Amino acid sequence: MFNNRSGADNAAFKALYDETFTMLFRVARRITNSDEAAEDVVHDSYIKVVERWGIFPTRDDAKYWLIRVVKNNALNWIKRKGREQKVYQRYFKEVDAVSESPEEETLKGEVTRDMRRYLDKLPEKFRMVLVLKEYGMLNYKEIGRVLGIAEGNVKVRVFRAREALAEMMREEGSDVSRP
Amino acid sequence: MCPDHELVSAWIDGEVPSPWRETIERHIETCATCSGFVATMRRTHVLLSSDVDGIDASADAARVRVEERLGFAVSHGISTTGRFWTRRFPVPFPVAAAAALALAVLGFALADSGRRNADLRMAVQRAYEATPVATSGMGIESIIEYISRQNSAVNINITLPAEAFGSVTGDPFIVREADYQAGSRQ
Repeated sequence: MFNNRSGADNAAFKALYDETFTMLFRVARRITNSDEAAEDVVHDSYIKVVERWGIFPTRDDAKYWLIRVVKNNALNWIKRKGREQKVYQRYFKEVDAVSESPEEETLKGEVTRDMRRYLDKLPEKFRMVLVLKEYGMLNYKEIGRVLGIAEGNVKVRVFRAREALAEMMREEGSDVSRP
Repeated sequence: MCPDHELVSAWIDGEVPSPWRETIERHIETCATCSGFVATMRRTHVLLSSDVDGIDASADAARVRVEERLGFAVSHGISTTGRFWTRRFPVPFPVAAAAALALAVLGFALADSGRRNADLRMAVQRAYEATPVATSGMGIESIIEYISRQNSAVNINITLPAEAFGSVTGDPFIVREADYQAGSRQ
């Protein structure tokens, strides 16, 4: 993969790639709601980490930097997509083409779809901690490292994000307490 | 007394250390309010993560494609070794602004210095190319009279005879000097 690099660097990057790809794809996919966008976001982020490979003291530093880059790139994609959609809708009256097919939506269930929709409504600082927790499978300490905030702050944000989700579900009549 | 719900939320995530973990666990088993809260929080977790399997299925195919694209990109010129002349170095904005200002000032100083050196060179050149107007033995009064007759500024080049600078004659000797200071007996 790294034609100009040493064997040790190749092995280190491959190990990082194997360890992080699925998690990064989940995070990017959850933020963008698009497989293609998630693939591009993750690919571009790996390119960035390759270009800066020499500056990371440890593999963990590279890993958390990479997660942060994926998160930021995915959010940028969403913002860009939002601007493009506004233009399309203004001129062509088109609807969002990113969502999944009706068949897939039916299979996944209405409540789950609602929950994802509510998650998208959360302020970014609450949404990101939940995405990294539920899709990145990161603990509070790791989330704090990625977002550059204290562990205690992560705990508060996770709680408030979940509380806000539950409240939205109650307001719209979806009972989140039922099993 | 019920524990703070933030703490219970952290407990759900396995982020509360022992012995608080066991204490909260015992309380939730006996408290209907807290067990209801835990059920609600866990439900949000279950619903959010219910589509992870579907995403992972897409991730497996994407993983192979991204690996191919990375290999292709790297072999076609993306620098992985960080060649010095293509590497980027992060520089804080104030430092960059100060460096740009220093470069600008240095550039102006160099340009001004070059202009003054050019003026000096031109003056020396003009002195060499001056037409002789007097011969040896011309006195200072003659020179002043010559200048007063000119209508504009003129360059005067006076070449003194070599013997005018004198020469060293006689034997060297030591001169003793006494320093007098008022009020001193030395």
